[in-house]
Amino acid sequence: MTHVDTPTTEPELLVVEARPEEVAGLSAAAIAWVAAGGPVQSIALHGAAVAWSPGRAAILVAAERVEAVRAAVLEFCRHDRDLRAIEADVAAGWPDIEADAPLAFEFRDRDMDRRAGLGERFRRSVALRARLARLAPHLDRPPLHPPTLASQVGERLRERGRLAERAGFLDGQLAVHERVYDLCGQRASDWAIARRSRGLEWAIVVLLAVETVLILVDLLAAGGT
Amino acid sequence: MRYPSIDVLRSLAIAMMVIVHFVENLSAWYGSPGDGDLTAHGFWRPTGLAAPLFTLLTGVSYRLWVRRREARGDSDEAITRSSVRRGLFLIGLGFVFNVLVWLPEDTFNWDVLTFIGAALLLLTACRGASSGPLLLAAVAAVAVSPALRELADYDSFWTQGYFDPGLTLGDVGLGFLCTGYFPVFPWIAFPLVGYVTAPAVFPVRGGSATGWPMVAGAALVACAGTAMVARSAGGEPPAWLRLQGWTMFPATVEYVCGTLGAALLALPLAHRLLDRGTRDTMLTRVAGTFSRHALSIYLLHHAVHIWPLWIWGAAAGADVTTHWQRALPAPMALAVAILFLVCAYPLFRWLEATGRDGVEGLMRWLCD
Repeated sequence: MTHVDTPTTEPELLVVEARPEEVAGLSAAAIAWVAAGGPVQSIALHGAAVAWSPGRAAILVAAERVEAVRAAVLEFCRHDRDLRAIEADVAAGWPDIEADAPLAFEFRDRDMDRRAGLGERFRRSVALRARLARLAPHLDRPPLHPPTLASQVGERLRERGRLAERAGFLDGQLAVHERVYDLCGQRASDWAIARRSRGLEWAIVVLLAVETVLILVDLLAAGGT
Repeated sequence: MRYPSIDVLRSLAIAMMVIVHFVENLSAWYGSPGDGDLTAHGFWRPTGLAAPLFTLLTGVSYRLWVRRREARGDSDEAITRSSVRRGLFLIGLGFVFNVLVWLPEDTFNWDVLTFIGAALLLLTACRGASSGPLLLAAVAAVAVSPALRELADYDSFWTQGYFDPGLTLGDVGLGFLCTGYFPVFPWIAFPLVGYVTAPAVFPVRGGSATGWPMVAGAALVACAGTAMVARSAGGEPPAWLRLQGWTMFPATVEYVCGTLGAALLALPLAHRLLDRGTRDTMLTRVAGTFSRHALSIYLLHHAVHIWPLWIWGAAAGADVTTHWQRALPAPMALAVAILFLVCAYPLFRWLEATGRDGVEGLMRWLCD
């Protein structure tokens, strides 16, 4: 029996139920269907076969184990999708990082207009870090004992998808983002404080200049007469 | 990026300036309405807005120019260097203009060109200052001006309504500071306020405009209007306010507040009306041409109507200034001014089409 699940927020899932003695691997048509989602990862384990690509998965498993394996595959797909979303957001932030990095060293008057943008990007980095922190425990959990087919499929998929390693890379990348925006925030704050005190100095300069002009005009007028 | 609102307002200022100068220099002025003197009528009063609007826009344009250079990645040093060169260029051009147009005895009359040059130097010096101190400086410049004029004995520098200083360091210095046609005090208030206003009206991409220029403009107009109404009703203002009525020479507190307020109101209004819709209209094209060549038009219109007067006087063997303010009746002078403006547009369009630059091009070539 074959059916396709296509919930709106879940990956498309092709489930093929078969008796253990009939399981001989996923058909070429099923693999081709999965390949439409991207590069295919395949695993075969204790009579079950799973092919997966971002957004699509096909399962060939005995009917009595379908629900457990299906749940394991869906869980993996959800985690992979969340991780990919964070990876995409982090990747999209690199051009901003390159543009903003000089501000972590030196902040100038002309950069005051960019303060709101810097704050927004700092908040975005923190939000990404929070999303990753919530996701990480699901990616690197210890193997279940005694193992089941579903838990082994899940573990194997996490290994093939390198979820734990990718989370580690993201952690490093987000540390760079946070470091840059933390320094930018510090520089911007220092600059704003310096600017306020400089405003006071300028006000004193203006008053002194007015006094000087009054004296100068008085002197010039007296010299003229 | 050009703002049609700035182009239109600058063109308006230039057109008013041209009309005022033609009528003032070719015809008699400060007569009475019965004499057929245009300048004595109430409708002539708005022409007093020309120079304040032009000098306010100097500050606005300088701020936007600096922003453009910074966005291009130019260093602070390069911007400062260009700014100082431009300021010095305008001061030098102002002196050359005075000598060639108003003859050498008026070299130090401190006209608008020398003032704008000096204002550019000052804006360059305090480019890093925040808005508060700059506004304080503008207020101080206006507030202290009557006292400075009193100290300098302003009236002794003016003969029959014209600035006529002695050629001494003291007189020349006082002319620059407070007694000339466009002295630093109080005129510096206009570019300073323009410089502070620019980011509020023309925010950076992603920022939002703020409404304080309109509020401040309305408040200033209201203050000036109240003072004028009170004066016309026979009320005597407190002496410490040093209110002297509505005059441009000297630029009184009422005049500065009224014209500054009107300019502050006009800028955001024009921005809302002209910068958000279709930018390529007949109005924006004409205004763009006049605005891009404002400096050239300023110089050219003087040469066109002043030099013939001097040549005519010299040819008649009399004093060269014999025909000054006597050449034409006022309506005729007004017609000639309009004719000049009509002819100037195709002339400067032709210059643009043939890739020729006016004095602005020379300034950019020398200073940038």
